Amino acid sequence: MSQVRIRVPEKAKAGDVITVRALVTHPMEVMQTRDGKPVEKNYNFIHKVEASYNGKPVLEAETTQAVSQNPFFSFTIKVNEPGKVRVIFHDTEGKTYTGEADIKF
Amino acid sequence: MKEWIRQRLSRHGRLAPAVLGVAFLAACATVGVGVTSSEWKTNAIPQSQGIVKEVDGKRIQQRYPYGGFGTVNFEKWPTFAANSPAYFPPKKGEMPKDVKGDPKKGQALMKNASKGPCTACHLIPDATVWPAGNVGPDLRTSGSRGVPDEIFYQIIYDPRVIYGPDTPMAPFGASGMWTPEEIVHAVAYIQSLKGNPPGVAEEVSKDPDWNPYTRKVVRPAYGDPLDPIANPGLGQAESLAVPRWSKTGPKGQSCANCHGPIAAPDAKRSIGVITSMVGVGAQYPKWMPQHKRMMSIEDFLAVHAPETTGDAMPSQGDENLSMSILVKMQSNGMPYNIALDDRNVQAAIARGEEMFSRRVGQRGQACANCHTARGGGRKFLGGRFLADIEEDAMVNHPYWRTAWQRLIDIRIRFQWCMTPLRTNMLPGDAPEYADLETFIIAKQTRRGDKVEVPRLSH
Amino acid sequence: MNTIPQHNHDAGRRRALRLFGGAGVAAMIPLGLLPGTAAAASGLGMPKPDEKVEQTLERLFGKRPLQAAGDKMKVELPLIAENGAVVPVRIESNLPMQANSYVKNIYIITDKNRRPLNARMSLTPDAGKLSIATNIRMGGTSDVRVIAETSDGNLYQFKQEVKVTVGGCGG
Repeated sequence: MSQVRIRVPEKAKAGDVITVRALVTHPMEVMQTRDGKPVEKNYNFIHKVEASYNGKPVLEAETTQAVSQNPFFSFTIKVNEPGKVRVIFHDTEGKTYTGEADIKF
Repeated sequence: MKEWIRQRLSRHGRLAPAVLGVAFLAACATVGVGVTSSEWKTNAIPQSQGIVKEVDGKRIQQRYPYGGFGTVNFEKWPTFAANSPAYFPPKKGEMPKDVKGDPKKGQALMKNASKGPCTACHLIPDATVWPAGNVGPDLRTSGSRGVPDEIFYQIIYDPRVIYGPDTPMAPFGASGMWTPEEIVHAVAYIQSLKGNPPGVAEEVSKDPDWNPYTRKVVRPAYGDPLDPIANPGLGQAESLAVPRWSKTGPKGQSCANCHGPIAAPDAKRSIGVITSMVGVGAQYPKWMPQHKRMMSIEDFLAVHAPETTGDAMPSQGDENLSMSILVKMQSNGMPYNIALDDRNVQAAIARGEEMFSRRVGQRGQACANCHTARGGGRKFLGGRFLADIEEDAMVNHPYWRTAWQRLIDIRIRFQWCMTPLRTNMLPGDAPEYADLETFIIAKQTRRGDKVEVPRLSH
Repeated sequence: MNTIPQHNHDAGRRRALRLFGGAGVAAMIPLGLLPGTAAAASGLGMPKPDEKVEQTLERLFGKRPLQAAGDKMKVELPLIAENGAVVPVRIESNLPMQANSYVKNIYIITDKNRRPLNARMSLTPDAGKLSIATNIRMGGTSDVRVIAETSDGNLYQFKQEVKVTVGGCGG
């Protein structure tokens, strides 16, 4: 039931540096131990975050299990024209979770 | 020695709130004698019901599978149930004469988490202690004051004999948590703490945070609780409560049929606005004559939802928590406003006040021990800065608990306190817990505290 | 009776924290040493082997020197975190973000975590300025480093201790 939420300013103008805030609900499973040994299984966590503006990459993050459950990222983009922010979260089961937001001028 | 005891008593001794509570309860006995957990059929999710059962030949209490609630069964110790027997009375200890105290062993025992730890409440001159607390006296010069060993022994064995019935400290010996030999070692360690120079508490660490008396209270900036990016609880509440609000149940009704639709969100109600529900959540807990008990929003939804829609909404379940947030959120920014002039509510407050000071569990400790100025209120219990019922907003539940990354209501919070108290929890929707909640929210109503859910906190 | 953990709810929290490392957790077995998991450890969903922070720094930066960030970078981190599960980090910098000179990577590293690298964020000049925030997990009290790598290869480091208050009752 993962979902991505993105918050951007309602309006921007050419040359503005806008702040994008994104949250994905994800368990970010951490290694379990049983009898002092790690349980052998694959752990599902977000390992990559990609953000783009009108298709052009603006941020890529390599993330580990040491990012909190329900990962949150905030970053900036300098915008010169209206367009679409897209943030894609990739987890280790191969699933992707995408959020989009429009920047209006 | 007698003079020393007298001084301690005059500093700490006063009438226990429990006594006042009981007197008040007696005066109100003709009204509001509601049902108790022994008569109330719980509507809580299974993990919240406090079921005691036998697993692999061992009796356990089934609790929540997260957070570390554990399953240890404490059924032989007093609980918050109305019919629970009282904790045993103060007990005089006899210091064993044939054991020689070893300060090193005592120091290790006092730092041992499974033995308290003593250092969660008392400061000792040991830089490796982290995080030290200051609920109880600073022990760094205790050995310089000429207190007889027998007195220290008695304080650890059962401090009520020395300090009176409302001491915040547990009777570690009389309850069986410490053996007499272990106490002797602790006494030897405490007597060895003379100070450096003698009588002066030693700062063994240069770090001001090591010392709970100089440590700053820092609240990490988790962000605006009403911002769905900062508070994942909002997303959960929205995804479960909003569809449920308009879902038609087997009885052909939805919440929206009677209470109206959800309109666009505003600043205080970031999931959506339900006009008919504005101010409603602030009035709970409420006395419900048809159920003969106080009910929180959560308690009521667990009864009301199946009654009207035909679909269950068990308390402490995610759907119930989410719907409680949606409803309570409609009162965000409004002061708590429970019916203080209702005699049934007054009786519940009195019962709640008695519970607040009731010693429960193996530790024999009460809410008041940690959450009043007399006890740990606004002091550090280990690293935790404890709330004071007279000053701090202890409510605004349900909230998003960052440590667990989940929503919890005040009942899960109560139940969470039960494990360290070493007492079995009651079902989350127990009428007794509703009384305790009423006592707390009555304080908030009198103070004019405002509703803000879902809070975002550790 | 004495063997029953007093605060077994806290034991649970410690157990949870242990999962992503933390110094002083003697029970942790380095994954790389376990037969059977070594091969799987290369899979994305498998935790990577334990690492000392020195190894992490060498793996990421080789022998390149780390310069103190000083006023080039402002990092907001709590001095004391109530729990290690969610530790907010906010990074701001006045380092240029121009086509010919910009911050290429930001690394967040928790020295004493089982595997110290929390996250690496790669930026482009299109960010306009450096302003990043996220939440990290910490296994226990540790230094936390934020290292900015510029397009011309400079490494600027901010370092601060964050104390994690695991222990005590309730919370």
